[in-house]
Amino acid sequence: MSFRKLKNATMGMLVAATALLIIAILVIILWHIFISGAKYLNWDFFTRAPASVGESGGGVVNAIIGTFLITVVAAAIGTPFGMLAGIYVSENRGKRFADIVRLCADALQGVPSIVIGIFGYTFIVARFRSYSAIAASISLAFMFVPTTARVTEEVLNLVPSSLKEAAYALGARPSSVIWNVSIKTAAAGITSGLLTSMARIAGETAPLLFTAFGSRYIEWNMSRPMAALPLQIFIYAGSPYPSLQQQAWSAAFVLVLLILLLQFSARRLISRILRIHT
Amino acid sequence: MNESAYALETRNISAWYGKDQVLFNVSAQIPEKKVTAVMGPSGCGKTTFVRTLNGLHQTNPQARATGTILLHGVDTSTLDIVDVRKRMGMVFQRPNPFPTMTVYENVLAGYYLTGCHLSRQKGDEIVETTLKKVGLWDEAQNKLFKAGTSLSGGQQQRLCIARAIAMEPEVILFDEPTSALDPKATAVIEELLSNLKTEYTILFVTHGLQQAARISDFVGFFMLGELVELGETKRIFVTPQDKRTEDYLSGKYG
Repeated sequence: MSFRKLKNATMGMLVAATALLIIAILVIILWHIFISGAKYLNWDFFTRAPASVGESGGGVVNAIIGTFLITVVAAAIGTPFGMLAGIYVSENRGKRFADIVRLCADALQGVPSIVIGIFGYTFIVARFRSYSAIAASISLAFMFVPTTARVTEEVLNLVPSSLKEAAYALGARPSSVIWNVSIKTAAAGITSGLLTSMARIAGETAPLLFTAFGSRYIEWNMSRPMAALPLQIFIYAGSPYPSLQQQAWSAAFVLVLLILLLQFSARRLISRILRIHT
Repeated sequence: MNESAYALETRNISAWYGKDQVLFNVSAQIPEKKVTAVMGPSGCGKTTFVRTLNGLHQTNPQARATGTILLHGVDTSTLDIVDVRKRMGMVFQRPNPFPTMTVYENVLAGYYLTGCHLSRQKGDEIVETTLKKVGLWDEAQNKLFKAGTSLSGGQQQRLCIARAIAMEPEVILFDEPTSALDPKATAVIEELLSNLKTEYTILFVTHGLQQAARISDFVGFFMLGELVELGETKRIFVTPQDKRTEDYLSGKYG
């Protein structure tokens, strides 16, 4: 065998091995969570709040409700800001201020989540002298805005300029072109970006430690401390009781499932937008 | 005074992309309800010329243009650009129906996008008459509520023509509308032009000499950003007055 062929074969195997490794890591994690978590799943787990200390049984419905509320409210706060920023940057490509906004979004994306948590603690929790779910939502919104802005911008850039020109040539004003042509054409992609961003913040733990704090009870009031799945996992996994440790695995299983579901929906939408454009 | 006997007249149009000047003092007279072809080698400015007419050239922040454009004798710079564009429809090189809209919605896109409300009945009426005008009604009447992009390329281009004439423009600008189509679809669109010119003034950019000869009543020849010659098609092809036109017609510039 010539050296060239040998090199080719070696490189091919290396690439395949790396790809396999990535799949293997994912499978091992999912499998482990599934094995450890799924067997303790029962009806109570999804319907009841945690049992009193020392008692067995109980569930994490408080954390499921909390994660749902905190994530949805964070997305609701962050979506308009993120989308408008994304639209602005996309429509003003090449202008200085737009470049600065994009740079800031990238920088904000890189801020560690624990720092965002401390920020939420200092400016919201400390000021109002209370841990609260809304403080958590606002902190997560800070993580949600830059990802949403970047995704919105990138998807809008994919909208063919020929469509915008067609709209202008029909007498449409710029605002109409943005809303009725660009956004509508990119809608599936933007929605997919929103779901991905939601998946990202749903699993965040650090900001919640300083803001939502956690709660043993089912809580709907956003101005009070609230449980969330990542917090519950954090607390249970560190507890000395085996029954709580088991519940941590189950909670991890539910959280992973939730996030994968969001990611999967996002994927489906992305494949739809790609079909439109090709 | 801005008196003009023509549907469309330009006086000393110059245009730039950044620092590059692409049009030099183009003064052209486009007669009403005729097909005027705009021909010339690639990069001669013919597309830029039609894009300055409806102000599309200037939507690029790097681009600018000077000169006067008279639409039925009225200086278009004194009009709202939206009105100018409503009165001057445009059909592009590649069919570009809106992918989010159905065939029906694509025909009425100009109304939707400019915020004009149409009654259901009026909408149906416009869709039917315009699709008949572009010869798409028989092929598409069962696909009205399917995506505009589900049609074939030639049908999509006729849908785009329908979208333009649904706004009842006075002038239709065609920017090499058949360059992405096969010969059969091209022939269909060329035949359409003879019907359309009974109602509309047509400006048709093409880089095909034969196409210009086949379809046009008048023809303008562009080279290096200059309008070399503009006149009756027969006259230009038989007795060109400028040496450059003659050279182009004999195939010297390709």
